[in-house]
Amino acid sequence: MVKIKHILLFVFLIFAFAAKSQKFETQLSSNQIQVGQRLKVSYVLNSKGTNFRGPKFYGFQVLSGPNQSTSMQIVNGNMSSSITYSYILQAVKEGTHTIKGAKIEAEGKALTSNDVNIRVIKAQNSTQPQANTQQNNNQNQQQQQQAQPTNDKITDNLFIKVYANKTKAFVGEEIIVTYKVYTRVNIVNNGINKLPDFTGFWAQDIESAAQGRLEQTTYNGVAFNVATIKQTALIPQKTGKLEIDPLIMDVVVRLRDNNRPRSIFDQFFGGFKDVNYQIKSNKITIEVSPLPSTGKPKDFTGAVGKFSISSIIDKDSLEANDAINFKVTYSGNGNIKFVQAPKINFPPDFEVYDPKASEKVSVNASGISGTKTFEYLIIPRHEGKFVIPELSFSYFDVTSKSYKNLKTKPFPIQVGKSNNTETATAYRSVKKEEIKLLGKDIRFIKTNQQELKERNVSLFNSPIHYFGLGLSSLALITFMFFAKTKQRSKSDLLDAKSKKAAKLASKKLKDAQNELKSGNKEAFYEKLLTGLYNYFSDKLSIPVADLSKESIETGLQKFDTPADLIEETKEVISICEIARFAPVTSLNEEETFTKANNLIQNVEKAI
Amino acid sequence: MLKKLYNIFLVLALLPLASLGQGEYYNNLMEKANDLYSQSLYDSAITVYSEIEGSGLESFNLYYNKGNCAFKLNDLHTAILYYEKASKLKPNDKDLIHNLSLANAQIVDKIEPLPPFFISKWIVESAELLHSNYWAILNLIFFIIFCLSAGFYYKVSKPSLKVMGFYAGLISLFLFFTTLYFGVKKYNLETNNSNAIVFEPSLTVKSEPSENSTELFLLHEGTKISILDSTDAWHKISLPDGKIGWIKSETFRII
Repeated sequence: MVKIKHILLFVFLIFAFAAKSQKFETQLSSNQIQVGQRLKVSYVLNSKGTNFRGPKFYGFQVLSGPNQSTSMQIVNGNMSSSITYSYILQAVKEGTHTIKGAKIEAEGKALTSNDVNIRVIKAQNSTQPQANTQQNNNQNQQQQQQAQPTNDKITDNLFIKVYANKTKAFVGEEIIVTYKVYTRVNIVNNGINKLPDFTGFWAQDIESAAQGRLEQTTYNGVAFNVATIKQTALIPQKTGKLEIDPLIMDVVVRLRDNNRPRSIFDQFFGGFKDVNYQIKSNKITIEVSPLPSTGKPKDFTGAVGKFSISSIIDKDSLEANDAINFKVTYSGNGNIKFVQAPKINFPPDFEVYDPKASEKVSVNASGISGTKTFEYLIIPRHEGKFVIPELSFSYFDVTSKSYKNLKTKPFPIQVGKSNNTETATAYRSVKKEEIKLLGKDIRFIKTNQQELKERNVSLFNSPIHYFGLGLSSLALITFMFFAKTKQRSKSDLLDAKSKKAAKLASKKLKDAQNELKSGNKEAFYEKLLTGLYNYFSDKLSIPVADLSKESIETGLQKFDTPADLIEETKEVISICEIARFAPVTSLNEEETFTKANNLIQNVEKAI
Repeated sequence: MLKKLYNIFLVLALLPLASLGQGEYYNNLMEKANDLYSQSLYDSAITVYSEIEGSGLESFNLYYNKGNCAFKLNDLHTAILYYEKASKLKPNDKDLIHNLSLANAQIVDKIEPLPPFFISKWIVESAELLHSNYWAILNLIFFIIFCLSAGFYYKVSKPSLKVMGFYAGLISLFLFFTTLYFGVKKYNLETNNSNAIVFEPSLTVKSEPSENSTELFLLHEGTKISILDSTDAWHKISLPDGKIGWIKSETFRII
């Protein structure tokens, strides 16, 4: 057998030698193409050549070329070489075109290659055969016959499957979705056309080393190559049935081409063709239920998974105006990215800055896990004993389907006086703090005993009120009435006398004047004196028996008479008394009379 | 007439005696309710306060404390109603003013009252210095002083004393009328039943006393209104800012 092959090869080589002359020919990759399709034109020279000049291609557009390639063969010590100039053309116009020959100079001879005719037919709607689409309908009969078996062949042998680790979840519970490609065909090239948008979910891609690696597996009893192309951790953000869109992927599949007539080369290299193909994953639906409302703690903020909490303080005794670092760390599996800064009731006198948040979250096939740290910088401004209160954190535990509450321990802090007196005093002198209002509340109830009274009963406008008013006015009236009657019975006479006193007195004075006219001086003085005495007796209600200068004086004083008037009275009375018993000639009677008259008038005015 | 007067007198004299034992009982209840409040058992406290109130007795403390309970139970309109009731008895209490303003800050309606004329504001403020009982007592005292001075003036004959009596009478008469005036004012304020608190969460005020009249404006619970006029089922109200309209009976409670 081997001998025969050797003989054949020998014969072939002899032929080749025999045919060894300069040969320059034109080769086409196809003799019928559609508009828009590519055509490779090669000019092959079986010896060395220079000065290649390509033709103009009518109806075609040159995409690349001329590309020169050289091949060399040494057979039985004889070396032969060939040069190929190739063009890649794209058909622009339909119809029959001629690919003209090219010119080259080889060993001083100018060679021209042969012309080749090519038929360019009308383009189909889609220039690329696509599987699972209706676009194949208007492909021509020949093409359809060609495409159909290949597509059938692909659908069974190439598909994407999507797996979710659970299809029922609570809001906030993580789900891991995996996209796998199953293939039994040769994939030349692939690319993701459309990623699902995961509406209603918060999505985080999982990067893993296993991604893209091919593994052997059996599916429905058939051996397949499987590769994971995408893995995503999803956290549902709303309730209800949430649908995940399919993932669409474009692949180029290399298929053995059975329909093409086999050339001699095909036998050597196999008849393959690359087919563009689109694959789609299946849709999946995830049922998201709300978190149970029973037993939901007040401080629950939406953490779902399994967590732990810890807090650290860097020192527990310090001076005022020094800083403390207080760190709260949450760690665990679940939607840790959603954990918010805790609300800590620091002592009101502390200066607290906004916490610095840092997170280390890793996403892998087992889900989202990591830690989230909040770091607080606290500065106590005054000395004293303080406590950073315990911190409460609630989350929904997925495995036990219940709420869990975690607590950190409280930290007592001892703040001493600031040693830095300079700044402390400066601080103190400047900073006068207003009393911080921590909250508003109503004042406390009144606990003192207060007399309960009948409703809508007031002393005002009450019978007692009117009774009191009536009684007192009645009392006044009766008092006045009684006082009047008593006075009338007792002192009415005196009163009347006092009123008539002046009249009586003037009568007596007239008598005295008559006596004076008749020259009886003694009688004049006597009449004058009794007149005055009678007048004061009546005026001052003094009984006649008690009348004297002194009793008149006290009587006058009772009525608040001016002192000079009292003196005048005393003077007039003593003049009369003296003149009566010892007639004084030096006295002028007329003058005495007018004095007495004036006195009475003055007393009348005063009292 | 005399017998009637005698009867009134007898009743008034015996009333404090009769209520003495009863008063003791309610004072104990008051203490019990205060204790419950201190333990934050506002629900139980308010029922005890209501029991005392149901007996027809009242005090500033009772209304104030009940208002506090209602406030703590987040029953704002009831709180305001009782603070206002307390305010009728003792309008100048600092704690009451604070709590009432806090409660009023939380209700929906914000009404800018028309500024009162300053003299009438002074008169009201002066009248509210004392409870009407004290105005009545002062009024009586000044009247008695007036009667005494009149009697004195009448009795004495010395002119200087007479002048003294005259002026004393004049001044006490003036004070008698002054206390009478303020007493009447205060008494009217106390017995005035024309103010009310809205108890409906949302209340439409109409232009006329009928269901299908024009809707004028909306009120919300806790707002203080004045009742101007009433028919069987409808009441004419006015707001501190001067708006006037008609509302139905069961939508408010009289202070």
